[in-house]
Amino acid sequence: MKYLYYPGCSQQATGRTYEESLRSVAPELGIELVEMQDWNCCGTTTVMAVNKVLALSLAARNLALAERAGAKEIVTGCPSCALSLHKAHQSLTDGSALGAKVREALAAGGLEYKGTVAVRHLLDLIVNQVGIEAIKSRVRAPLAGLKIAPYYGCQVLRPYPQGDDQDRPQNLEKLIQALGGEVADFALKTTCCGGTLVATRAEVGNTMSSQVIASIEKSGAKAIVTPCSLCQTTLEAVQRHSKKLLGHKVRIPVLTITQLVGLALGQDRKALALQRLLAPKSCVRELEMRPGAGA
Amino acid sequence: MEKNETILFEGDLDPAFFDEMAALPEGAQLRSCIQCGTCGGTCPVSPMLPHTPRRLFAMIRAGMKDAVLSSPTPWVCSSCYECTVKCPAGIKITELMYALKRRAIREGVACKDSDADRFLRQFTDIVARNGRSHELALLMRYMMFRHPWQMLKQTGLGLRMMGKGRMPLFAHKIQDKDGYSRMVEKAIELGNQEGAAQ
Amino acid sequence: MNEPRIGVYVCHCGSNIAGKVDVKKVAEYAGSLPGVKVARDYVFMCSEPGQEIIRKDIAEHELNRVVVASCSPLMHEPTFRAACARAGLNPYLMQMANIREQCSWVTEDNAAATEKAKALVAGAVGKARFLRPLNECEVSVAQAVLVVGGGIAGIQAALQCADAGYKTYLVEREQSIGGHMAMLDKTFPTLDCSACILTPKMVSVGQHPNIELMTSSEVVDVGGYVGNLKVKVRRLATYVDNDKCNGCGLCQEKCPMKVPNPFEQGRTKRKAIYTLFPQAVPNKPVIDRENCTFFKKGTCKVCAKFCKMNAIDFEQKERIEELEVGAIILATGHQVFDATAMARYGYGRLKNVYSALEFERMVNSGGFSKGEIVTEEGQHPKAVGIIHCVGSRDRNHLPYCSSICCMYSLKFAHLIKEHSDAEVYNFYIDMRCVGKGYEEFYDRLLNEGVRFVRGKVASITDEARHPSEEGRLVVQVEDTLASVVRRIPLDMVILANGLASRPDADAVGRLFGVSRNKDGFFIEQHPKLAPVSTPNKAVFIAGTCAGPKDIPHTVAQASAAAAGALTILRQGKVLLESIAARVNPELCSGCRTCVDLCAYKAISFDEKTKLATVDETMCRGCGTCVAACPSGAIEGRHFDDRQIDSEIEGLLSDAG
Repeated sequence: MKYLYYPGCSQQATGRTYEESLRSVAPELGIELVEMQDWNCCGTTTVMAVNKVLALSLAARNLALAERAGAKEIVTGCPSCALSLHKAHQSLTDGSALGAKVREALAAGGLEYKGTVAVRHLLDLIVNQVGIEAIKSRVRAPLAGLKIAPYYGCQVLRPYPQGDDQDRPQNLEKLIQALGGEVADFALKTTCCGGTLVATRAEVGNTMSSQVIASIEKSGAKAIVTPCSLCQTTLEAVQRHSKKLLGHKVRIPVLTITQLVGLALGQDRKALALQRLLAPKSCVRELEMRPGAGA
Repeated sequence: MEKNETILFEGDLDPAFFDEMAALPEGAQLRSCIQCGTCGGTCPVSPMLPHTPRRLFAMIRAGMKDAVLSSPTPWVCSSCYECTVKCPAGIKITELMYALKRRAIREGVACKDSDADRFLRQFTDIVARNGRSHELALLMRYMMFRHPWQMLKQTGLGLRMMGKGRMPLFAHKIQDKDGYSRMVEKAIELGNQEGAAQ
Repeated sequence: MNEPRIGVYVCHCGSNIAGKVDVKKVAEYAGSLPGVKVARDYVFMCSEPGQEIIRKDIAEHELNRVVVASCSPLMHEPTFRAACARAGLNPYLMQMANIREQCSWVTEDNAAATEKAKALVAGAVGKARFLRPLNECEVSVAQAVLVVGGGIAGIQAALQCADAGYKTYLVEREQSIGGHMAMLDKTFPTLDCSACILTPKMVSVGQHPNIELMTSSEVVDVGGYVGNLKVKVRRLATYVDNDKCNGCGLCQEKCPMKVPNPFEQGRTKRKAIYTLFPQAVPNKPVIDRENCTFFKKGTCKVCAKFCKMNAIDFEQKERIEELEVGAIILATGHQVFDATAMARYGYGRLKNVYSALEFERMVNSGGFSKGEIVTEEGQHPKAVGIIHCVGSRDRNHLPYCSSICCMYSLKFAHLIKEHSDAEVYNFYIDMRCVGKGYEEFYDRLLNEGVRFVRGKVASITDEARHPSEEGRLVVQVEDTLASVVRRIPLDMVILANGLASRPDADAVGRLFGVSRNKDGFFIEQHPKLAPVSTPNKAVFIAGTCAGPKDIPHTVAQASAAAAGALTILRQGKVLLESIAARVNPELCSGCRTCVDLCAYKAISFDEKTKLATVDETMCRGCGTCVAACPSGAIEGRHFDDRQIDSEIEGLLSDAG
């Protein structure tokens, strides 16, 4: 199935591992991704703090372009982008005065949006559309009971549940199990990692992400999987200070959902951008060298 | 005369501030706040701040406008939306935090403990000009002069990320430059009307 | 009919109407309408002097129609009808125009309101022209009452009616009466033992000569009309002959099948043949068919083997019994909010998180831990937390306050202090202690050393962040009074679940013709002045089925409902309005469209004559059949075509 793909700014920068591994696993999952032409930044959480109409317009431009391209759905891997696009869609379809302003801004740029595009996050697409059974059938190098911690982060579930139960999410767990892994449950799996604070209030962000890591550590997980590239970067980066923040060294590799899927599909490490991870090579090798793995 | 007391005189406060916040679309259920404290107990950032969201709403209700706009709480909100989904009164707390940030910027009120507003405005500036964000430029602009030590501390990470190919040197530019900048200009203009008499 | 001579009276209703509508202009306008002989305005038409004006005019001006332009007919139609009747005019020759609720109270502009009032009056005058005198039909009232639900509300209502000398049926779905109150340990604020105050009443019910107790039964159909309600009750098969059974309990002892006991909230087991609790009334067991070995596999029958009275009857069938009653009291109660819906509290996932009812059973000496406060691991807790407002005051769950949770949470705190050395924390938002002795009870608890924290608990977790938290439950809460976020380790947490309407409230409401509000509670006739009546004259509501409340309020409502029911019975007769539908046999084509449409089953079809007829006593005058009849063969008395056409013409005519 063909999908219009909205990468979002981070996918081609800090979140690069996400997109690379996505492009690698998509064909095997029966997904054909067509990158949106001339997409722009969705505005994420930052622009909304400065100018509301600008924030919504930035996201809306992408909806308008998608509609113009005849797409019924936009798929994105970034929860924050999904959230911004959802918000923009809502403002343009709820008849509000705010929506009228966004429409005016779009029109100034020669665009319009009739409200026909649905926004879908990748985790929802993979688990609910491609489906667990389909994924199971394509696993060639099962994860052999590898203990994996499902870290959702915040915006993939809140405020829009995006194809999962907001209070008791199961999509990551289902995915881990379908790939042959064992779920390492932990209490903070939907608690924010503080990624948005990394530049402006690093000490607050570090406290938050180190708490998440501490919680994960208790579960005995050998790897963390997450649907958000900012969470991946943040959880990776904070482990560098684990000695100071947690009193001892912690090195647990953080993989995006596509990297995890790719591992179980037996795909090659370069295709999955494993070498771009910040985790020490040894930890990542451990994942690759599990019994039953191919390469 | 030296002030030993901390009495707040009603004449020095701004009770209309509460009405203004409650009149915003984000403030739709603000008047229904029963000060239960669910937001404060849930917010992962709250314990590290002087004001929980609940306390901030109590201050808004009292009309403590200056204290509210200069509070670090809205700036350090990580937009995790835990408060919003749990609030029994259905208040769109996270959205209110955005509204408070915008109001502080509009009124030029500086927060003592955070210069996040600079970061956010710089991000917005880069996106408004190029169409996409550029992490390297942003971090450099934000940190270089104001937080040189922090920048040095992050250099290690920055270089590693660059080495891993996760920190591009150059910014991407939008193709439809004209259409894009017209839209941005109009959006900025319309957005700036927020808060002005409508 | 002779030429209409109409009197029009425009009420000021103080400033309610006159403050918006120019009543003098409206009266003047009314006076100009054809057929109107007298048109006046007056401050309060419903007062004695106001009514006197009508009566005088009827006599002096030989009026034969009266129009009162005032409030809603729901308020004063009976008043003005009675005034006309006293003056010798048939009460159905009086028509009201609602220029208050439908005009002055809902229109912004005075001029627009006045024009609207004029139109409404013209409409009423138009209809009045064609009104016909109608007679009321008197029917006798069946001298029996039906009480639905055997909790404390139903028990109280039944005793009240039975003591007054009337035959009372008490229908209860469970196998014993007692309801939620039977599950409680102590009651606030007196700390009376719940069973001790409840069981004497239960026994009275069981022994009362005037009460026919039908347990394991439910109402399946209600037909008939005020005074003569025909009720069908399904008597479920219990597989025990209560007449033969002597309650010895041997069958329960010998039964080999054990299943979780819902009375003990699933924490202990009961047998497949069982009584609900030791003080059950009737104290006769019931076989749980779904778990009985005989019904599942055809073997066992141990109970029958040991029963000396031969009371076990595996062949017993359910049956339908028909009752005829004059009035019904609904006391169907509530259900407790299921805290599983709030994932953050870990109910059902974490150990040692209890619901309120579970704790009642724990602390009750007859309950699953014999009154000892112990964790699931069998330890005595060092610290117990009680969380108020679980589910309540929350737009995402129960938007209202459940009324009793603060009080029972204080009760729990006291009981824990009494039964153990544990520290007790109560986490609350507001302390609601409004009844007699309630605030004093709060003060008592403050002085018993309970630790009160004002803040709604954000989450309960078992993940420690501090050495003192290892292996314990941790509550995270913002202490809003001290303005600081706190984490408090506990060994046991009790949730103060709110009260919700029962899941079948909708079906029950429809069965008895009682409306529900958006939370599923039955709606009373008037929230202040008629809290136990419903718009249906013969049906009353009492207790928590009408909204969360404590026991004193429940009992008071039950007695009030009984008084209402007894009034109907004592009057012995009921006047039925003859505002009913009538089928014109000449026009009826026998299509039967009306028969199925009638919500009150008032229309029957005669196979021989091939005609539909309306039973006027059952007909409520809703007009559905009138509108639906494709042959236009049905006329709605007091709302016939001519009357309605004339009313419409009046409404649409250009006012002066």
